[in-house]
Amino acid sequence: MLEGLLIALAPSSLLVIVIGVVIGIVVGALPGFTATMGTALLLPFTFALSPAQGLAMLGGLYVASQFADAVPACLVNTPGTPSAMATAFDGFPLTQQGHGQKALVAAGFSALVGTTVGGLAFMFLSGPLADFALRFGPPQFFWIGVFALTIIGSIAGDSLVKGMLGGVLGMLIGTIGISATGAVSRFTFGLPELLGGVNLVAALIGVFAFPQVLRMVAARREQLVVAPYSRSPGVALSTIAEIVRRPVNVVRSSVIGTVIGILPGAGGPVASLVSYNEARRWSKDRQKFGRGAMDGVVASEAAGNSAAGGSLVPLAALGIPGSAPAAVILGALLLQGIRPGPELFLTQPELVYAFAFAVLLAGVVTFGFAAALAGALARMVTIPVRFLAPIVLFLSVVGSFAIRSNLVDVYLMVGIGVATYFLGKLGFHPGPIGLGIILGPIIEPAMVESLAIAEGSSMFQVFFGSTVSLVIIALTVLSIVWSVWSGQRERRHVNA
Amino acid sequence: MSTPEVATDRRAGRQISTELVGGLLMLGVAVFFRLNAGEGRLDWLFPLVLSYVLGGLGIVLLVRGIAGFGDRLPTVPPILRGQGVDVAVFILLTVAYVALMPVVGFWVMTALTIFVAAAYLDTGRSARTLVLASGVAIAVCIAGFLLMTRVFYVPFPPVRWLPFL
Repeated sequence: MLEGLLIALAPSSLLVIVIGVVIGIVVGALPGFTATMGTALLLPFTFALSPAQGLAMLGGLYVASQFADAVPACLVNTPGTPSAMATAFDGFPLTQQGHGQKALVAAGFSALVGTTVGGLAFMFLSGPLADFALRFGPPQFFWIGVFALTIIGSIAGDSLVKGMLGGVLGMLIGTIGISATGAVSRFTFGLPELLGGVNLVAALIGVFAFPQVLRMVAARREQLVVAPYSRSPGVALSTIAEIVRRPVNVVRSSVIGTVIGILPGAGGPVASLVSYNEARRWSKDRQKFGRGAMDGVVASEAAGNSAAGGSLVPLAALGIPGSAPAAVILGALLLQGIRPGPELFLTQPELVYAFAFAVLLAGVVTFGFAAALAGALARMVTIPVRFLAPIVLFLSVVGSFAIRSNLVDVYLMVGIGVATYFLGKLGFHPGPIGLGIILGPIIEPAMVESLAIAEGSSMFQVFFGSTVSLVIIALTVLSIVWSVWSGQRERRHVNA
Repeated sequence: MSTPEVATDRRAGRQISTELVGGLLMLGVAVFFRLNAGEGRLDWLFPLVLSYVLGGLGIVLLVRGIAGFGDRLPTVPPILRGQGVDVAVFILLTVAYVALMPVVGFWVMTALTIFVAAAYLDTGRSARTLVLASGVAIAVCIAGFLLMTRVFYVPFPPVRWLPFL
């Protein structure tokens, strides 16, 4: 382990970590550009580096992009990656209230804690956690998706019915394209461009970014800038102190993120949404969520970043990547002639530990950048709307196009954006629509695979036959009962 | 629930229930997806279930609207005043931007769109602000071009009549 630490602390390793972090911040902050794309772009450069340095650079990029996606989420209500969707729920209202710097520092510090918890789990718990991940089959993933759907109760806005409608609509959008079995094209109307389905990132840009541009345009006569900004010295320290004084939220969210992160396919978006829901559930200030609760930003960012560390657990322990960027890192390992798996811990432990320490160091470097740049970034909201609106439109178009170099994604982004804007006028919150778009492609394949398994045995046994399934079902029922009960209690409190 | 703002709008024109419009819209979407669904248990089960749930919840919203629940919105003519015009113009500009992009070229259309949008959204338009708008449009395009094509290698639709772009 000490050898791994020394490798990670070598000046050349620190340099590649900083390079990875800088590129990661750029990639994460640009809507539509993902950590997967960034790691894939850096992959060729790792040939010229030693395995430990190559992994350190890719790890740095991965960690930094998971934080940087909070920047556009907080400043212009546009998640940089799907993981930052829940960050936008409270980060943007905080910015609108003039607390953009506070939101960014909270995101940066929570990201540091999340990265640390995820990194330590990767370092010390890879074996047992990987065994736990192996207990998850299609039925368990189906129930995880259903559990995550209960978040609609938290983010539906004023109408639960409209929230549920938004969630279902989002999942229906996700069914466009080739079916989960790969046998049938659905709702493509003969257009080959739709066979690949609606791209998740383009759809989320449509749900969050484009309607925000239209809202800026609508309010441009009364609001010349998105939000006020006033320099507030010491806000970084006071924000950190506020989080540290109440550590339960950030620690709980980091643990949830790590556990969900190790499940291949679930990843950062589900982790941050589940943590956001739990933070709201356990908060004494529940009604503040969605209106600028710092705890919402903390929960989402801590979970999103710890999920990154968690996704490396099955990669190192089993050779199974827990996320798309982890798959690229797996590629880097294979290209260097290293086969991840249980034997890696025996044959090259220094490499695993060097990678884990590099991830931890990348968290610290990322937080350094976040704290140093938060003030300057928060000032961006004072760019006049007449410039900011077309620039965000440009970034939305670029982000939608860049994923697959397909103009149809851009057209879909604009169509979904216009529809979401007008649905917003009818009282539909964009959160559930985004949630449905994220969860649909997780729930449907899991459901179809479970049904296929059930053809050879009992359906009851498949869906309810494992302890893990029963625990998740119990959590789902508890979540619904709690939402209804707390909602009634709040209504009674308001009426009294 | 009527806010004072809504009450003012009510005097300005007729109003419709958001529940009623939302319910009808969702019912329409559910029927559209149901009618275009095919056969096959595993391939169509999920979208079919979703379309029925969407339709069911749409009916709930519709009933709530008929019963008089929910907010109310001004009908189309008042919407088309002020803010509505700005939004409509911006949507048209966006449609023109993405539709003409493959023909005119990505970077030329981007520069034109940013300039036109910045000029339109400017509340105190003058020669100076128009020069500033063109400067911002060109600067954004140059920065975007260098970052996207030289660092991230994104193959944007080219300008066919300007080979170097």
